[in-house]
Amino acid sequence: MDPGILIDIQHLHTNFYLREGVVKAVNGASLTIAKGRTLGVVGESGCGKSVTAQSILQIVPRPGRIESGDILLHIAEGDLDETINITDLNPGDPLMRDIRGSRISMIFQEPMTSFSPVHTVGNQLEETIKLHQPKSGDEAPARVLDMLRRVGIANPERNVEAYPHQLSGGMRQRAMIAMALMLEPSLLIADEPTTALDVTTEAQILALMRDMQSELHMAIMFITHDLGVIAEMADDVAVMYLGRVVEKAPVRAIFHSPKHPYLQALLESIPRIQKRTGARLQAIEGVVPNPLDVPPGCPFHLRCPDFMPGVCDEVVPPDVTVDEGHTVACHLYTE
Amino acid sequence: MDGHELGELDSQQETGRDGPAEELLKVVDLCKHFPIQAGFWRRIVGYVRAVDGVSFALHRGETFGLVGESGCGKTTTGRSILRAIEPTSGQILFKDQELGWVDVAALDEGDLRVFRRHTQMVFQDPYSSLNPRMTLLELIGEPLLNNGVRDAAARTDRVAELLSLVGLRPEYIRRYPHAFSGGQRQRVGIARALALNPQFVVCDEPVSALDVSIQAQTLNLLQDLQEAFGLTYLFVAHQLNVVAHICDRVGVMYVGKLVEVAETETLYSSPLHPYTEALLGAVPHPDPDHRGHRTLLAGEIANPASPPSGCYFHPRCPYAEDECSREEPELRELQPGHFVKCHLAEELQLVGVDLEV
Ligand SMILES: Nc1ncnc2c1ncn2[C@@H]1O[C@H](COP(=O)(O)OP(=O)(O)OP(=O)(O)O)[C@@H](O)[C@H]1O
Ligand SMILES: Nc1ncnc2c1ncn2[C@@H]1O[C@H](COP(=O)(O)OP(=O)(O)OP(=O)(O)O)[C@@H](O)[C@H]1O
Ligand code: SF4
Ligand code: SF4
Ligand SMILES: [Mg+2]
Ligand SMILES: [Mg+2]
Repeated sequence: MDPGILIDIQHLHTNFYLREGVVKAVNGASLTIAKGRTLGVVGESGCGKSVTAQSILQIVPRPGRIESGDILLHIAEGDLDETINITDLNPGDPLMRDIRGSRISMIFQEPMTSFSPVHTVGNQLEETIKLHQPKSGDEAPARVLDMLRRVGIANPERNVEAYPHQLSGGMRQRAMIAMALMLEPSLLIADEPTTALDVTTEAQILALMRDMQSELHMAIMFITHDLGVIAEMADDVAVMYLGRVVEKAPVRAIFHSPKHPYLQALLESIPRIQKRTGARLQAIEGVVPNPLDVPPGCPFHLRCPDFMPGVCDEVVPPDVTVDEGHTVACHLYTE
Repeated sequence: MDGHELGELDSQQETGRDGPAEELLKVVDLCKHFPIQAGFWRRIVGYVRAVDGVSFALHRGETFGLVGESGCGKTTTGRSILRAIEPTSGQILFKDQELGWVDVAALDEGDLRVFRRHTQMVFQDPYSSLNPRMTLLELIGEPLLNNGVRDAAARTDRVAELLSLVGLRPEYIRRYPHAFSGGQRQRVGIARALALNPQFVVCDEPVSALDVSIQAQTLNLLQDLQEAFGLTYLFVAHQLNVVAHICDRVGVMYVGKLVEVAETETLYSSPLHPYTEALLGAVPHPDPDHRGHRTLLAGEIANPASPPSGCYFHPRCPYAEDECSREEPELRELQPGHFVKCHLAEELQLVGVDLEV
């Protein structure tokens, strides 16, 4: 494995087994997350971004489970240099619990889902440390205060005593980030962490995440719909459609030379703040296919303006490298 | 009364793309104060002044945007107008086709049911606003059933039609909400709100959970419905590009109060309130070469249970002067239709966003 790679996902399939059939939420997705860098993940709602994140942590809710594929986690610390395949572990495996606590952590759109309403913020942060580092003992309270200060919570001595509902939305988001960073993970998964926030609070939280990233040298997997936030935060971008990754590239290439017809259409759909026409926005024709009944060939072919009959509806397009670090899965680019 | 009289708001008659329009809704000095209770006896020790003296008027067929920091009272304003929660004080006047102006705050249960048929809400949180034990058919069919559509086949047809209207597959009709992603649930909420052909809809962050393509579809849909049925929207959102696209006028809230109201073009290109300037400066641009251009507003939002003295924005305002911490400014109509609540509005040269119209 390339030593710069932290997570390497290959052909991941994660399904939900419903009475009506099998939902192929992640249907052969492949992507890599580099150490210390930010991977932005975008794609149509329902295309499997959150389920991919849940798969990395082995927290896919029932009736879902990882069906096949590899999620390789590269751990290199001092003399230790090993690669763990997360899909080989059971969700309850002690090693998996250790990974979840101290190597990979996650923040969500709604901070209340990560906190219990009946304990103070300080208590919950301390518990996180004690659970994963039982020897930490007496230093835990001091570390909590220090982390709250680092994430920019004013007056941490008083705010450790606060219950989550007593903090404002922006402060709760900071407290959640503090909780996720408490154990200095090598990967932070952020699933729409600022979608519920106004732009001024969002700008503060993103700046905080970037500061913490350079301080802790961690990688971030940043899931969002907001292409403005992607442009601001991501080093690399993966574009998903119907359970697959259809384009991967460094962020500038994504915006300046998008290749996949889906990505091109997506970029056309953004309402520009400078344009107040009241006119209709460009939207992609049609609806996302039913994931219970994934069409053959290219997942986008039913809506694609460049559709080529006999090819696109029959053969799944392979990943083609169009430039350094830039791959696209579309028959327009196959030889 | 804080700020201004209703008469002043009436002077703003121009609206929308088609000139003057009839007023549909007037909100006058609306307040919602949530009690803060403490201790074993749940004694009231203070109030969160979530909405504190808000006044504005909506015209039939227009889209009025409400923006502002998380927790500034946007959702509470929307919910109070629909009487989903009881306002502490203030008037909400709704123009009924037959009855003329009715005071929503004073309606009894029976009249409230009639009012609620004309007014709907798309909820901000697609996770908790849908009952997990109901299928889409039951969720979207419920308002239909409650309003006399007893025939099951007719209900199923209408629900299927609503699902395709919002871009969901009618085959999903018997599924439960947990089987859908955030964006898909949001569209279920929109279908439910539209079931009874309302006249007025509070859209609370209706597209923030959607990807930009479905967001575009949904905004187009909201606009089409508005054109077809003359709908009026109160549109709450954080994404200022979306607000610019869909709203005719915009109100900016800060800690429970309106601090600026203007037509969209005017507000974006020549803001008069320093907080509006900060909001516009913080918008992320979809261009990686534009990185680091967002201005950072320092400090945290004021606590609505114990707001600062004078102008609530003064601890964070880069232009604050002595007077700002002593005296609360009034919401004044500085130019026709352009209201602002700032002592220095005449002097400041604030930066907006250049709009190509
Ligand atoms: N608990 C579940 N049960 C059944 N199906 C599910 C469940 N969770 C997700 N799915 C399905 O899996 C697919 C992928 O969902 P996922 O939540 O990953 O989408 P997403 O890309 O995160 O979308 P969004 O941007 O709207 O959050 C969707 O089709 C969804 O309906
Ligand atoms: N039921 C309640 N009880 C007590 N306080 C409440 C209640 N509902 C809202 N509040 C408080 O009222 C204030 C305004 O909340 P509101 O939800 O209206 O804000 P908002 O502008 O919609 O924020 P956001 O953008 O985060 O949705 C907040 O301080 C909030 O904590
Ligand atoms: S493979 Fe064919 S259908 Fe798919 S995106 Fe490319 S051109 Fe369009
Ligand atoms: S009144 Fe003073 S503090 Fe308030 S916004 Fe105006 S200049 Fe800033
Ligand atoms: Mg998701
Ligand atoms: Mg709200």
